[in-house]
Amino acid sequence: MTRYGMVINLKTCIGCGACVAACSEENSIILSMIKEGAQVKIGSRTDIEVVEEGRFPSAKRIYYHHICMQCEDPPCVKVCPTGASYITKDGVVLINYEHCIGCRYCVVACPYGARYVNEELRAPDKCTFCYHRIKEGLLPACVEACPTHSRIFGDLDNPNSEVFRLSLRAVRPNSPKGTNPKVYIIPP
Amino acid sequence: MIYVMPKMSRRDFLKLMAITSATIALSSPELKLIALKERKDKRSDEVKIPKLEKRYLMCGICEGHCVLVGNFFNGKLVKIEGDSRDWVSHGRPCVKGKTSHLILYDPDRLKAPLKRTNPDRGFILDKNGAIIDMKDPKWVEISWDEALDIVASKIAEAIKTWGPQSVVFVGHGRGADLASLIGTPNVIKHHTTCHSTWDVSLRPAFGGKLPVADLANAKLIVSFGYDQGAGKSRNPAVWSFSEALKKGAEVIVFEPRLSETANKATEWIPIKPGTDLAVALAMANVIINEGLYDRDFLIKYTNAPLIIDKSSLKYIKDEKGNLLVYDEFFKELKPLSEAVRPALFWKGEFNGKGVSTVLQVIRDHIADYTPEWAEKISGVSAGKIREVARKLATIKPACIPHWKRSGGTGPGRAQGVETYKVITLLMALTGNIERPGGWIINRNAKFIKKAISKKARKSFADLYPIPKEYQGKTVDEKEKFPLYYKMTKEGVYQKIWYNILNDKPYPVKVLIIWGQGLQATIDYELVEKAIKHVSDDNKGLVVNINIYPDEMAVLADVVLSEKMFLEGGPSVGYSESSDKTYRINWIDGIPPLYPGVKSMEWIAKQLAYKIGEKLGISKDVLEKEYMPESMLLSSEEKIRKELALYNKKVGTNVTLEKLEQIKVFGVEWKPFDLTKLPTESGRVEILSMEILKYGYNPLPTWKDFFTYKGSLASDELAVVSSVFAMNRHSKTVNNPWLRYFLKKHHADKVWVHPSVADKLGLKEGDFVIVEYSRPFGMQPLAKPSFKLMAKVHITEGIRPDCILIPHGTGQLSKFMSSYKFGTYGGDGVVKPVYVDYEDPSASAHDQDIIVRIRKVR
Repeated sequence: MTRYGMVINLKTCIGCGACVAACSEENSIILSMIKEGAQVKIGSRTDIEVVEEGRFPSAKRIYYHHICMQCEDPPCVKVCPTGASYITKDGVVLINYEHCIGCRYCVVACPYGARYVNEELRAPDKCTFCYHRIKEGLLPACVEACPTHSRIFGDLDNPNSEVFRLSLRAVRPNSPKGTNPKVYIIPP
Repeated sequence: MIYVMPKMSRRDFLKLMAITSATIALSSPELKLIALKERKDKRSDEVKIPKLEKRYLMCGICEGHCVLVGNFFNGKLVKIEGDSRDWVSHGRPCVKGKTSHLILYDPDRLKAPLKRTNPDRGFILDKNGAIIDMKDPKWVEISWDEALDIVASKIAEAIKTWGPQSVVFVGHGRGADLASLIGTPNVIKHHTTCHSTWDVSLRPAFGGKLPVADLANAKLIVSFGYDQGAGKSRNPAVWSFSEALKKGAEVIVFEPRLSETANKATEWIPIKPGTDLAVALAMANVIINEGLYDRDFLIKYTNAPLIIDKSSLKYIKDEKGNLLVYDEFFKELKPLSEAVRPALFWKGEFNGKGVSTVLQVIRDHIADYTPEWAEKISGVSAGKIREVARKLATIKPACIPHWKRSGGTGPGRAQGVETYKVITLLMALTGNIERPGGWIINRNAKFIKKAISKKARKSFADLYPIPKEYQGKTVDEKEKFPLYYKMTKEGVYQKIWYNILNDKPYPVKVLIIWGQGLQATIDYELVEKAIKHVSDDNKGLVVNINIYPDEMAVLADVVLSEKMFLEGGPSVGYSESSDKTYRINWIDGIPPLYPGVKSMEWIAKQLAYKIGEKLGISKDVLEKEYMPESMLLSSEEKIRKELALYNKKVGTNVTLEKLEQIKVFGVEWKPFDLTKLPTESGRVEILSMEILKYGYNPLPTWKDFFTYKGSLASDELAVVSSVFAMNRHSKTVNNPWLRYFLKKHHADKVWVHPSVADKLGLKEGDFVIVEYSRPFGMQPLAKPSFKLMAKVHITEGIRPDCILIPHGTGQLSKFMSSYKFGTYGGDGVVKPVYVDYEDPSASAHDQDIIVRIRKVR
């Protein structure tokens, strides 16, 4: 079985925002096909936050990545009253706008704050791992754009994949509701 | 580690928003109906990749010139990708290039030429003396015909009455062909604030060639303020630096503030500003005295074993002109080619003169530069210096990356020239040159520029010659820096405004500022006065050629609208930055968005015709006798000539048709023979004869004015400047996405340590006034009296005696969306003008100052 996942390497990430820009570029095209003029505003589906830690001279800046964790057991899918939020067989959490009534329960339910309300769609929106790209064998836009190769994407069930290898030495974000994220972090 | 989401109010905010808006949505069924109707109902997993038209473009943000692949959706450029065959970007352009379509479609862009109607110009100061705004030029839009007429008649008048030298071009060398046609020697680039130090210290060691750091294969990286990769996000430095990190390379960074390279480093050593040279000298001292150098490399590829005269430092040669070494086997001097075992250290006599080997001279010269000596100056412990020196000599391959403006090697610091000499020595001592993971000779295809001559065959100066007393003199005094001039043919940027204001060596009548922003200049007050002087006192004209109505445009008399770098084409591109593959690429280009924006070539040519007309030279005569090749050839002819030169130099066979088809072309990297360099000895010269020839000291020497002495007053701080990964000054600051990231990185504020904030009662985001206080040692030529207002960021990532003033995030033109983003005016506001005639690089030294800060009440 394919089980898509991502590793974010904070050892090499310089926080430049190329991933965030790439996401907005790529997915605005897709959203505008769903509704003309709809956009993914910068920093909506994924974002970086700069956090300073430590005291001089051992201070550090850490770049937290804000992105959908593509949980194995996603609360957003559980709370959806119409079944519009669903999980594909390869483990990507998506939204079916045919069934979405815009109630936004999912936005509140996500423990990672990964969903937001898209003003033009008047419906929740979130990272799709660029599902339209990965099913054609391409990488998600953010992964392909990262100048430092700090976002690594692939099949977590494939022991030969880079993402599997790196996930072994990465940490999983804490999972308060037993959500089991599929986005791993290599700490700085 | 537990990964916790940052202290984001985002989720709380969304929660709140979701509840309130959900209530609204559910309570108004009509709204929901409209929403559903507008949506073409689709499941996310059924969405297909839309068909996007692809065109090859090239980035113009920095000299890296990455290949960009533009994706067009319904005829609009919506997405920019890279091409993985491009070694410079590795298929991943940086965030600035990637989002440059936002510059293309920026509503603030200039769309037609403008003329100012308000004669009163300049900055508006508040009661504290800080710049807060600029006077409105009250622009009126004019036609290109009128604009060209105004500019050309002023140039023609200047040529006739004052001489061609009174026309000055400032910018990145743009308009060089027009300048050549006019016959003015004044074409000025900004090298002395950017990279003049490597031009005079590094290039001579390699016979004019420039080595670049191959970080990707390095096991140890020692950085003296280098921040081009991670910090400035310059491809390919950023790729190779991250490769090194992934392979587990050790990174040691000497830098007063936590730069991005320091942030990613194994060890950040917050060194006192302006003292990198002392540490580097001590490291060389340790490596030589502890015998940790790479003997084979030094003997085979460098001039270390060659015999020189101890007093004149020139090579000693035998009757046949052979370079000599001391042979340890025969115990006598032998020609280099016949020696069995050349000695690295030896001194003795030859024809009654005291002679010794090059390395012996260097060892004697740096004998006093011990780690203990360096500790007193730099604050880095002697033990640490020894440790880093031993690591540098034993871990292979190791690399000391170097680059440009920032840090210990750039022209921002007076020590830059000397530091370059030492790091060249360190790299040679450890044998890390032209080897993967060390320094490799740059292989970019910049040379193809030379295929098309920009030199006019006959200039207007033949009709209206430069007055005798002004011949051989330039506004920027480049003739006073012969080595720098030989290596670069560039000018002394920081001096021009001072000289223009004081009519030195002659008055300037027409000032053409071509694509140079105010944010990169030094001392805003001087710039304002100089521009006023040219326009008002000399009854001249200040022309700005620009894509944005930025600060420089607001100061000028006439603004001409240029196209931005994605527009135009087709043409052939190449990298002007570090490259390993001699890459050339095909640029499909896109047609200019507005009819009122014109290419550089078009503007230069039209101006040439108009000036010719006013001087009584007909179009035919101008084309037949005067114009340089670059103005006459069609774009296809140019491409064919460029490719012919490329094929000749690189030994390939690429035709125009083939390049158009494959789009990107490069060759495989092969090691270069270091004994066939165009230096006097043919080898890497750790003691450069070229520097010596021009009368400068080739031995790296510490001078007292490189850093400040004693302690600082309670409100005084030493300046550190920096560029951020998402910023390229006025070129990109109007890009809203980049500003979004700049804000996150606090690049819109000045940085101080919490102890400073406590002392001065500052809180995060408070406004402070930064004013020039005193120099490190050398007295500047002009002191700035304007003050800089900025928000303050309090951070542990900076030395308590320093302030970081980000370079080029301040924009005070109200015609741009970046108006008052960042500091009020650039870092140049508080920087004084230095010119050190002893310094071969004519460096600006603009960071060697102490400023005073106080809270705005």
